[in-house]
Amino acid sequence: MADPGSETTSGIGPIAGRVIAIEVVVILLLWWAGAHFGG
Amino acid sequence: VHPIDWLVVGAYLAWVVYDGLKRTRESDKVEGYFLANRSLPWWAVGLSVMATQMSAITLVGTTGQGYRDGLRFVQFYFGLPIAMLILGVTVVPFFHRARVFTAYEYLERRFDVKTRTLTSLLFLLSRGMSCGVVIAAPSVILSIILGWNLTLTVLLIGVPAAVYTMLGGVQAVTWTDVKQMVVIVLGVGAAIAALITGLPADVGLGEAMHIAGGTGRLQSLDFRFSLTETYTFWSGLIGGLFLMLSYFGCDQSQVQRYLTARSIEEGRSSLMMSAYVKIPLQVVILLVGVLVFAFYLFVPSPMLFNPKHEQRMRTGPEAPAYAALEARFTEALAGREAAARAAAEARRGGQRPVIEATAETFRNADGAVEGVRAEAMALVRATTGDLAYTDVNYVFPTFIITQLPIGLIGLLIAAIFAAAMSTIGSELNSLATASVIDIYRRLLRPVASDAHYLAVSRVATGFWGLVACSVAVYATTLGSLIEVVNRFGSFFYGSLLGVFVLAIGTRRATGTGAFVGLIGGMATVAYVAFWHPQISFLWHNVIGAVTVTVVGLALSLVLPRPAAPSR
Repeated sequence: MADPGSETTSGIGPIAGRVIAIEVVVILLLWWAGAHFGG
Repeated sequence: VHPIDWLVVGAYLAWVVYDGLKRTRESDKVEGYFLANRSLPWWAVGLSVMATQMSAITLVGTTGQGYRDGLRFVQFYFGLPIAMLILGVTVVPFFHRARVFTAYEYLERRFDVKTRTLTSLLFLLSRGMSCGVVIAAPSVILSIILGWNLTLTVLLIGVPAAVYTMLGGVQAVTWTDVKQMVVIVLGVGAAIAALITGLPADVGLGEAMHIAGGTGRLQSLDFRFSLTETYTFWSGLIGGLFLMLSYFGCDQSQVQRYLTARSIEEGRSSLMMSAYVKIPLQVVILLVGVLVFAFYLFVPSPMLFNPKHEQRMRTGPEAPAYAALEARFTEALAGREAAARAAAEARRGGQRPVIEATAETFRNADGAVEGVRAEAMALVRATTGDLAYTDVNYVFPTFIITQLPIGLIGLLIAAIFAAAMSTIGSELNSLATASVIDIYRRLLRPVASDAHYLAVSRVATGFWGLVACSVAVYATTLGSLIEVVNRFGSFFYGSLLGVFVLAIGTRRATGTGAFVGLIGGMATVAYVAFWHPQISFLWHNVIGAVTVTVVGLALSLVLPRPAAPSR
């Protein structure tokens, strides 16, 4: 049975950083749109 | 529908079928037919993953949600990017290295054949039924809006997808998915352009957004923690995470997409495409619904978007009551349009008190319109006996047919077809894979030539196409079947995830522990669904996964370990 070794997780750090950053930015934009247009 | 629109739809259908059939010669072995010899680039697989997830009812229903409720529905997807990250470092490398055809095949290597067979059969039952619903739902809508024959509409959507999938295998599915995704994006883009240019000359996009925003439609975030509300930040982030882990990690219709990738890296990248793009894409599709709302502020909108019910009410015994409602509705619409124009003018003037006063007047006018519409819906429910009646799914198709110019109508109908067919192709392909690899080759005929298995695979794809179309025709005459199918899926989705958590995340779990845990998880979710129906279905996935993991692990620790561990 294969084990999640270093090859499995290598390079995932920067990808995870970008994915989370984009999600946070999109959520902030949605919050801004609600505040700006909903007022 | 104008002949030019027919031409566009016909050209689209001919194009995808031709493109799919071109792949037949690349699928002359079972591994090529089901896994494209693990040779596909990440971007094609990534687009196929997205096209598979977006069915026609997702496209049509999401725009309808945007029209009625605004952007709130986007919270449903907040767990998706995190799910993709987790799957990228767990199942993608595990499945790829194990060189499996199906996710359930992996479970036999880790546990035993009974766990593999049960999970595969649950997938076949659930996905076989839901593939019928994927065909039925848009068929009902298109046949009502366009006046087409229902059975013919089912066949028009189901048969081309079944034919190219049967002959071209996963190569045909993936490459047609790529093109169908392009058609969907083009269609959505064209709808946005038509909506923006369709606003009155003196009302800008920003003003329209402010007016729509005044009704709360641009308020997308709800941070309340509630087990009963489906669309909140937390249910989307936590419940949605479990749902997306189950769907992308344990459902063969998605697993098979990234099993076709060239390498672990490319398989992971294909999932990351959804992680980056899915939420913004859903926002755009919901915004189309919000723009349809803004558009209908200045153009008279129908009181009911389902023309079948509208016709029935106008000619039935409730016609006088309905006519009175229509008169009130027309008056309310005129009042709302005047209020919207006044609000837009106030925005241009820039004086805060005037802006606030006109916005308040608009909200009241919109409330009056919605009040009359609610009365009309109640009348429909009372007359038809259909207590769950809603016309959310008819908003966007009605807009397409009645408001878009010739040519664009054809493009948008083609986009709805593309959304349906891209999902159907992937599902038929995965149903055939599980049937042949997990059942036929594993249990019924373990030794035969590759040519034999390839022939059986084609027959299996055709068989599932036939089942899906039959279920679709049946489902359209028995509306409750759709709900039954959706409910059944939610019973076992989270539980299936629990089995994979045990398989990949723990060393101690045994086959018997996982098998009994799976049954316990499904029973628990069924209990919660029937006895606590107020709990949102998104939480069923969490309950199922946690129950299976806890029960499976506890049993594995208590029961004696098998003499020859499979690990």
